[in-house]
Order: sequence, then C-alpha cells, then structure tokens
Amino acid sequence: MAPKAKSPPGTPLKTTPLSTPLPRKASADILSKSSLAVDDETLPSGNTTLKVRKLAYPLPTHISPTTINNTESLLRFIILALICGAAIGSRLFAVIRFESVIHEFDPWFNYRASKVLVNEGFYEFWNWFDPTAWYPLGRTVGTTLYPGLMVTAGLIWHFLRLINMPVDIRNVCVMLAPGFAGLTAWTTYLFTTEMSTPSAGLLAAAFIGIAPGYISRSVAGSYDNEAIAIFLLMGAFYSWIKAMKTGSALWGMVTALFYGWMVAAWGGYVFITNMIPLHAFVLILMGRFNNRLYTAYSSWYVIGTISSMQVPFVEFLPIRTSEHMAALGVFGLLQLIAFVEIVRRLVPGKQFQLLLRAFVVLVFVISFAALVVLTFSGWIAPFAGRFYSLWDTGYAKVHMPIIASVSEHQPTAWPSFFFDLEMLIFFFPAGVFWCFKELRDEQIFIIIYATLSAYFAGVMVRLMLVITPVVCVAAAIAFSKLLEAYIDPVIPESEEELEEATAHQPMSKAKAKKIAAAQQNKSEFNFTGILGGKGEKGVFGLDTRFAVVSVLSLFLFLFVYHCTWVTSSAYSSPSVVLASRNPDGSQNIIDDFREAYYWIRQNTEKDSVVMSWWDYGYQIAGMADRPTLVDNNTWNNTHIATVGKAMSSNEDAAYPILRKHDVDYVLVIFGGLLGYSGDDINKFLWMVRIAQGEWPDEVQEHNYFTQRGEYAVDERATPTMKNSLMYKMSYYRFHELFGGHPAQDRVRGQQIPSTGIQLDTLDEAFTSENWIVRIYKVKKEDPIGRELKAVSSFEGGKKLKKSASSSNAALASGAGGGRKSRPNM
Amino acid sequence: MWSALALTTLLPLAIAINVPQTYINTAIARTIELGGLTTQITTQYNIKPLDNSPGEYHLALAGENDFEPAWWEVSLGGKKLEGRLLDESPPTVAIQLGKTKKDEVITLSLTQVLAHTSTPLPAEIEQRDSQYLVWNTNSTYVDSWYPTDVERVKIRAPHPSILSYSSVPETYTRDNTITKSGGTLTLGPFHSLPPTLGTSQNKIAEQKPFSVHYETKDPVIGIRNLQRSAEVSHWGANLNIQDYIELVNEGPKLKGHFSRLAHQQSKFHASVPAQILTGFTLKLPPTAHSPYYYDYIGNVSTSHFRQGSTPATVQKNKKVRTSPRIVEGTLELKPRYPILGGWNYSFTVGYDIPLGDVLKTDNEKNRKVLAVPFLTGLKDVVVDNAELKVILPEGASDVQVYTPFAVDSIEHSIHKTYLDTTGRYAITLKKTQSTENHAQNVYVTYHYPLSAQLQKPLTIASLVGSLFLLGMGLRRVNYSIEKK
Repeated sequence: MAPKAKSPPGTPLKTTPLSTPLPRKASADILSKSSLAVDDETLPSGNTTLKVRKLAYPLPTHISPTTINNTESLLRFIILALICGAAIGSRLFAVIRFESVIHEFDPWFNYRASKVLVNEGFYEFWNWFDPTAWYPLGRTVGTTLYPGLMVTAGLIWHFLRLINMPVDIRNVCVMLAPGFAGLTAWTTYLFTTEMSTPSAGLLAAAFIGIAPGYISRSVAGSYDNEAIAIFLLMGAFYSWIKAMKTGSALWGMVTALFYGWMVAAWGGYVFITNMIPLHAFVLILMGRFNNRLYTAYSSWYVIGTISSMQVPFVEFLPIRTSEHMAALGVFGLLQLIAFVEIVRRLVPGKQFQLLLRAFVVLVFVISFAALVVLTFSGWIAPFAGRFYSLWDTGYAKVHMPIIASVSEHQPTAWPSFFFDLEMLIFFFPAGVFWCFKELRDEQIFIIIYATLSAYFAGVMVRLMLVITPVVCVAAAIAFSKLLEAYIDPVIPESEEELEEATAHQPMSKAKAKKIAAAQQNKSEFNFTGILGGKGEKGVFGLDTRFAVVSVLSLFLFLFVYHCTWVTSSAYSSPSVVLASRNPDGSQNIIDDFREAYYWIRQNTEKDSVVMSWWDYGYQIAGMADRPTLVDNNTWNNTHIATVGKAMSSNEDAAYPILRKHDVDYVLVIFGGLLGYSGDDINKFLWMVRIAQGEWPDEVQEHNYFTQRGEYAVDERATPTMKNSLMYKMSYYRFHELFGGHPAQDRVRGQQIPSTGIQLDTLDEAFTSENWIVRIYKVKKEDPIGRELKAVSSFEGGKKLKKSASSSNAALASGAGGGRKSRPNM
Repeated sequence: MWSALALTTLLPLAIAINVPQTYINTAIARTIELGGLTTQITTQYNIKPLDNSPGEYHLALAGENDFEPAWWEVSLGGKKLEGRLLDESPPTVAIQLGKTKKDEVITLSLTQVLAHTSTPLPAEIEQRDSQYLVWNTNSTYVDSWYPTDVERVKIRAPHPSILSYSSVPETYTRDNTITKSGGTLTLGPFHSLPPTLGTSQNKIAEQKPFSVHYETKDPVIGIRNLQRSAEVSHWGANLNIQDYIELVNEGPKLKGHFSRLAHQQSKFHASVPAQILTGFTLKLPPTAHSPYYYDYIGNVSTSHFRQGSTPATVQKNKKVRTSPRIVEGTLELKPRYPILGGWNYSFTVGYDIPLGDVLKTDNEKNRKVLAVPFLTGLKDVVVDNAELKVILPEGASDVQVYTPFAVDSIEHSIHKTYLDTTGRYAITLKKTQSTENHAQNVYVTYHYPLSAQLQKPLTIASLVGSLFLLGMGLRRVNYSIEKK
C-alpha cells in the first residue's frame, strides 16, 4: 500500500477521513460533485470508482436514477410479497394433505381456550375456571396461561366478523401460524436492513420464511404460542434497534408494546427481557453510552414492564424474580450514568469525576448486593427450575422428571442443527464475523444474540426456535456480502494501471480522497483481498464471478430443496391423524385418536371422568369434552404421580385410586398392533419414575426391568410389569387377535405371551379400529359387597377361594356399602 | 263448504263429527310392511255410494286416539287426490269424489307411512345377538267410518322369523283368523264389518290392539335432528346443500360393552350383527359434486363418492359413461366408529349442485324459481326434527315459498355472511316426523334484479378504492412535531 500513498502535491490531504468503514454515501457525494462521475449510483454496492472503469460485463447506461430507485423499491416490495407467500405456502402441507385440523397436544388447549374467548366473551375467558381439568382440583385457566395467542386469534376472528366474513374460529387458529410467519419474514427484512443492506434483508426474509427450524413450530394447525412469538420477537428487536439508533421515545414505546404483546403470548419473553439489557450493558461497557440509548432503554423498560404486569400470569414477576433483575439493574445503571454525565458536564475537575465514577461503581455494587440479599431472604424468587436446567443439563432429570420426560426439553443433537438450518449454520459464523468487522451498535446486538442463542439452542431442542432468526440474519449478511463482491461488475485496476492513472490525472479528487482513506486505514488492522472492501482489490475475471455466483446459487437451490423436503416429511404431520400407504400406493389415513375421542364425546355421560397419561389430557378435553385427571399443563406433580402410580401398580392397588378420583374411564394408547411407537408402553418408564418420585416405597423402577436389565413385555417381563394396570390394559385380549399364532408386538418386536390377561376391576369399553386407543370402564363396587376379583371368578364359573389380595383392596371394596358414592352420578 | 269448514273449526272438538252413512266399503285390502322405525301401509278401498249425491267420502287415517301418520297419500286410479284434513280426532280426510252414481264401485288407494311404531324387545342385547322388534297397533281392523263387506289385512315382516303375534277375535271371521306363511301374516278375511268409528247410535266394531314380535336384519336408524341449509350463489352458479345430522341407533341398546375383537372377527367372517351400523349410502342429485363429510372434530376420511350423470353430461364427455340414463350420485359414508344400539353419531355432509339444474327463470314475471330438496331420503329412517334453511342471494326480494306437504312453520329472516352489507333473505322451514317420502322439492320464487347482483362487487370495490385513497392522503401528511 505504501507506494500508492504517494500523493501528488496540491491534493487536499486534510479532508477528514470517514470514520465508518462504509464510504458509499460520502464517496457518491464526491463523485456526483465531480464532473467525472457517470453512473455510479446505479451500483448497489457503490464502490468508489474512477471514470475509466473496466466492467466485467456491460451495464445499461442512460437510465435515470429515479427510475432505478423506483424500480428497486417496486422489486423489493414484490420480492417481499412473494417471500411472504412462500412462507405461508410452505406451511400448508398438513392442510393440503389432511385437512384444516389443530395439531398435536398443546394447540388443542389453545384452540379450546380460543373457543371460550370467542363464544363466551373476554371477561368469561379472563375469569375462566375450568372444573373439568385436573379433576377434582380444577384449573384457574385465566391466570395460568399466556392469553396473547388466543386474544390475537380472537381479535382476528372479531375483525373478520365485523366485515361480515364469518370464518370458523378453527380456521383462524389453523391459519394463524402461517400468517404470522409471513409477518415474521417482513420484520426480519426490516431488522436485517437496519443491520446491513436491503438485499441482505431480502435474503434474511427468504431464509426465515422457509427455514425448517422455524417451520417446525409454525406449520398450519400448530396453534401454539411460538406461532406468533417469533414475529413478536423480531418486531421487538427491530423496534429496539430503531429506537436505539434514532433515540426516539416513540420507537421505544413500540418496542415496549411488542414486548408487552410478547409477554402476553409466550414464556420465552424472558429472552427479550435479558437480551435488551445485556445489549445496553455491553454498549455501556464499550463506552458507547449516549442519550439515544438512554431514551430508548428507559422508554422501553418503563412502558414494557408496566404492560407486562397486566398479564395475570406474570403480574409482579418483573419485580420479584431473578430472571427480570438484569433489566431492572441496567435501568438503574443507566439512570446513574445519565446523572453522572449531566453532573460531569456541569462540574469540571478531574477529581470530582473520579469521585463520581467511584459513586457509580459503589451504587452498582450495593444494589447488586441488595439484590442477592433479597433473593436469599426469599423476597425475590430465585430462578425457576426450567431456568436452572438451561445451565445444568442434568438438573431436570434428577429433580424434575416431568420436565425431563418431554422430548422437546432434551439437549439438541448435532445433526439437528444441519437438519433445521442446512447451509445457514455454516454461513452463520461468517455473518457474525462481518458484524465484528463493522461493529456498529446494532451489530453488537447480533453478536450478543448469536452467542446467547447458540448456547441455548445447544441445551434444549425447543430453543432451536430462538437461534433460527439470528442464524438467518447473520447468514443473510454473509451471503449478501459475498454476492455483492462477486456480482459487482467493476474490475479493479492493476497496480501499473493505477500508477499510470495517478500520473495522468493529478486532479482527481476522488482518487486522492481514497488514497487518503487508505492511508488512514493503514494503521488499523486490515484485511487483504475482498474482505478489505477496498476498491482496488477485487475480482478480476468473469469466470471467477461466474464460478462463485453459481456455487452460491446452487447453495440457495439446495437450501430451498432441503427446506421443502424437511417441512414436508418431518414437520407437517398433525400427529392427531396418521397417514400410511396402502399396498397399491394410495393414502390410508389412520384416524384412531379422533375415532375414540369422538366416541367418548358422543356416547358417554357428560360428566364421566377420563383418566389417561397427561400427554392426552388436552386432546381429551378438546375433542372428547370430558373431565380429565391430568393434562399437558403439568402444574401439579403429585397429581401426575398419582396417575403414574395407578398405571404402574397392580389392580388391587390401582382400584382404590381410581375410585377415589371418581374415574369412569381409563384411556391408554397402544401401538403394538400397528407399530405406532409413541404409545404408552414406551412412555411407561416415565410414569414409573414420576410415581417413584412421590412414593419411593411403593413403586420402584428396577422392578420393571428383567434380571438382565432389559425392558421386556414378552415372557421375560417381570411379575410387577405383567400385573401393572398399564400392561394389562394394553395387551388385554391382544393375543386372541392372532387366532392361535404368536402375538407379535410390532413396536417392541416381542412376542406377547398367550396366557389370557384377566381384568377384575375394569371392563373394556371401546377399542379403536387399529387398537391404538383402548378405553376401559371402571367397574363400580359390587352391590352386595363382594370383592371384584371374587365377582369375576364367580361369573367365570370358578370355585370361590379365599383370595389373598392386599388389605388395601379389601378396605376399599369390602366396605363398599359404607363408602360415599359419587354425588352426581 | 266454507261455512261447513268454519262451523267445524268453531265447534268444540269434543263433539265428534257425524259422518252420514252414504257409502259402503265393498272390499278393503291392506298390506302392512314392517320395517325398522317406519311402517308402510297400503290400503285398497273398494267403495260404493248408496246414494246418487253421496257427498264427500270420509277416509279415516288412523284409529281413535291415534296421531296422524307421518306421511299419507290418497289416489284414485293412479292419480293423486287432494283431500281436506279435518281438525278432528281421529284424523280423517274428506275427499270429493266428483260425480258418482249409485252403486258404482270406486277404488281408492291410500298409502301411509307410520313412524316409531316398532320398539326393540328385548330392549338390551349383547353385541352378537340378533335384534327383535315388536310392532304395536291399536287397530286390528282397518279404521273406517263406513261398514265393510270383506276385509283382509296382510302383515309382512322383513324376515321370516316371527317370534309371536297376538290373536284376533273371531267375531267377524268365518274360517281362519290368522294365516302365517313365511314372514307374512294374513288376518281375516273379516266379513260384514260394521264401521269402527262413528257415534254410538250405530253398531260399532270394537278395535283390539295387535302386535307382532319380529326379527329385523337391518340396523334401526333414527335421525333426531336434521338441519339442512341451502345457499344460493348466482355469481358462483352454485347451490350448496349442507346437512347437519344427529343420528341414533334406535335398535336394542348394547348390553355390556363393545368388543373390537369380536367386531373384527365378525367382519372377517362377513357376519356383522344386524344391529351394528357400519356405513350407509346417500343418494345425491345426478349433477351433485364436491361432497364433504366432517364432524365436530374434523374431516372423516372414510367416505366414497361416485358422481352421477345425466344424458347431457354424458354427451359432453363420452369417455366417462355410456349409458344415457340419469344416474344418481352416491355418497357412501362410514362413521368414525361402528354405531351400536343406543349409540349416537352426529356429523355434517354437504355438496354442491350447479345452479342451472335447480333454478329456472320465469321470464314473463321476471322471477326466479328455485327447487330445493327438503331432505335426502334414507330408507326406513324417521327424521324427528327436520329443518330447511334456504338462503337466497343478497338483494332477492318478493319471496314466496311453495311446499309439497304441510310443514310446521315457515320463518323469514335475514342471514349475514361473506361480505354482505344488507344481508341475505333466508327462509326456515321446520317439520317433525319426516320420512323418506318427504324427500321432495320445496319451491321458492323470488325477484332478483341485476342491480342486486352488482351490489356486492361495487360495494367492495368502492370500499377498497377509498381505503387506497385514504392511504394516499395519509402518506402525504407530515406528522412530525417539529417543523422541517
């Protein structure tokens, strides 16, 4: 670089060099002033060039800048609209393949709550006490859920009704996630545009639109909190960046509103609660405190906290739990710094400043100590259990088997990063690197976000969702930098040409300017090659451009292909309906769940209590409309353990539990006939573990394993296993189906013994077509006070022998006459 | 005649009508077809006036204290006769026979459908048991206001196994009272039967109840509620028909519990017990298309549709079908689960019909004439409460309804749906106890000018246009507090 710095005399060297490494605008200004500039503005990258430029390929000339600007914005709009369309379209596999149906488990509850909201009104929903959940405890739903999702769906529904478009609430719920995915693409575009260029924004929008990591939670029918949360997350982050850059209280308030909506919608709002303060804190540490940051943060924190406290489920948490303390602390710190800044401006004197600094540090330390003391004294709640499991991945398995039993709370497997993000995961570090390189305030945000979410995504599968947006943004930045460098038609001058040009054109202001800038940069760390971003370094031939651009395009095509394939094959199953293929290739729909649930709905008493494992609680409530003992809102561990105990004990021990909880029907999921692996026998060990957590003396996990430590359901199964209610209900009369042939369990690949299973306290009430759902009716006590075992052996024509059943059962059924019968049956 | 009508309505009902004995029935032959919930009765009356101007013939539709049959029709030589239903108990029609001479024999025929005359006995059976019904009637003899010379009643059961039947008094029989051959019982013949109805001045034959206990091989299906909505779209040239149906298996209730194993075994041996309903078929109009079938929790995937065809459609695409007949569309529905005795199943079925097939324009009066089927008939099924809601396009006015049979109520209302501004004209017809025979067209005529047709596109276009204008205006306003 040194020889180039030789500047001819008379060049205005004292022009202040540009502090930011984005010389586009300034150089363009200079060029437009000089008569030499021709059509530099047409180039999106706008690299500084001279008049005599060599272009790798011809560009059209004589197009007015206005036309170009208008075309650009029109194209941007059209592209964005198409991206939104693609984002919505790629989420509709389930609707097209099956139908407009609510998926999985939690969405059924959200759907049910939405129906309460639209049918019975907002206040009924707010005060909703659901006596049918967690029978007989009930659940105060209004204060134990995040209402944002339902309220959003309800507002859309009411709006459509207002313009006389009576759309079924189910369709609103089903289409909510794809619709908001389109909006997410739009906010991601805005966010990335703030970080980099609009072209990077468009790429980021396209990435987030179809990235499987986000689609996995937002296909049509996946009516869950995450469906709108990512839009709100990106909206909040965008408006935060905007507020921080402009110092506008209006944008701060918009951030707060997005934040408030997010708090109402998803428990993951804590991520924003910590992300924004962390960003502000890092900026302070970097010495970048200014009034814009102060205004933005203060307006966000005050309005955001107040609006978050309006949600009944959150209420005073923002000032009483550790997760929210960072935001409060940074708020206080900002006030102090602002105060100090004002004082410093008014009072000169170095010692006084030192004093003030000491004061700031002292206050900070004292308030932190106060926080710790308050936490230990119990006034501020320590971190919640789920939060700990983020730091110690083994924590949940030991202390909270319920949380650990959920598959989405498991640590992420490495392949799933590639599965969910494909090539983006490789471009992601490059994008973060670019942020480091420029390191403006907003890019620090990306860096913090990337670091935090990369950690979280590694800890919990579920949090892949949080990393996806930042991966898309960072990858889009890297990608667009690459594309910009290689699509740019300008061929840099070789060194000899450059010197020649300097000699011939001593008066070129632009050139002088550039050289001056180069000189200035000399002292800093400089990248060579295209990373240096200097005009004279670049790509020479057309072949290089072509090769790189075509490889990048190939990446993009493969990405689209991969995303579509993943979405179609992995993330679009409603799991309520299963699909298989007939031998002739036609689709066969296995609809056992709805068959059984609809049977319950239509043919049992309205107040029959159904006991099942908690996974199916929401579905039973939503589709069968019957009271359940436990459901997916796993707030009461003891209640779940009770169900686990009933399922894992023998009939004598289980029957009193069933009767005490007024259970009329017991529902089990059995996949042995069809090979449906998500059935209750496979979940059984978790029931045993959770029950063991409460009753370590009565239920022991090792009793369910064979001597050799195997989990067996065939001949080798232990007596405890064979006598457990779950085993009996799953395999009751199963072997008869095979008409003398060995009964094969297709999930576990084991042979079920053909000795008949006898159920004394339960009657088989319904079994679905493929035996996936089996429903049993709990017998009432014998009217003449016999034990049910004796009754069934009497009816079976066997000799009455003195049964040696446990005294427990004798107490329960023997004293049948004296027991209080159920009041309303 | 008007005065007579006024008189009968004014008089208290306690006074039974006095039917002048101007006719005699020379012969009555009645055939009773037993089924599940319905009973089909056809009766031939050979009547002879005793007078040159005998007046109206009073035809009793049921016995004392009985209700009017769910459906009935009187015809003379294959032609349907209009009768005047008297507001009396027992239900009676007065029929004008026109000019009749003395001793001229006229043959009237009466078709009746009775609903809910059979009940399951035993009321509870196990899954594999066969089902038996008992049919009860209060009238062993044919109810009549006039004396009868010869009368014969045949009762046909759907299946030869008849467990028992009651006896017939020997008062009017000569040789045999009841003959049973296979599934058919023949009562009588009865000779010189006095009238079974009338005032006590005459001699009256005493009616005895009669019952048959028989087996049936078909599930006994009832529909508690049927709500049909028919929505007309002139722009889409479409009539959408949607039925919400609450179906019940009215056969003997299931004793104990349902065993899937036993059900699958019986399916394997192709011997599914008679009481279990596993599927049924709906006959749709020939041009019906795009059917759907769902219930409260979503689509039911187990249905098959075979589209019908008319000669016109066959001509269009000859490859599909060659027969020039009208072929009805068939929609085979399979409920989510087999419906056993006492089980319920409610669902929704819908389909579209091209509007051209059901809507005609009366150019003289400038009116549209729309034909809407009241319900889709299912054999041997009684619909307890049927409701038809016809939703006309927005702007339809001057609406008139013509029903082929009497309905319980007709309501006019406004129905607002997709992007309506003034709302659509809706007519709701309600009827209890409908049968397969009520699957007839209801005609609705209305006035529908072009302006009404253009109402919606113009409203929406102007609304969207004004929104854009508003946006353009707002975009050009500076909101900044500081002046730039």
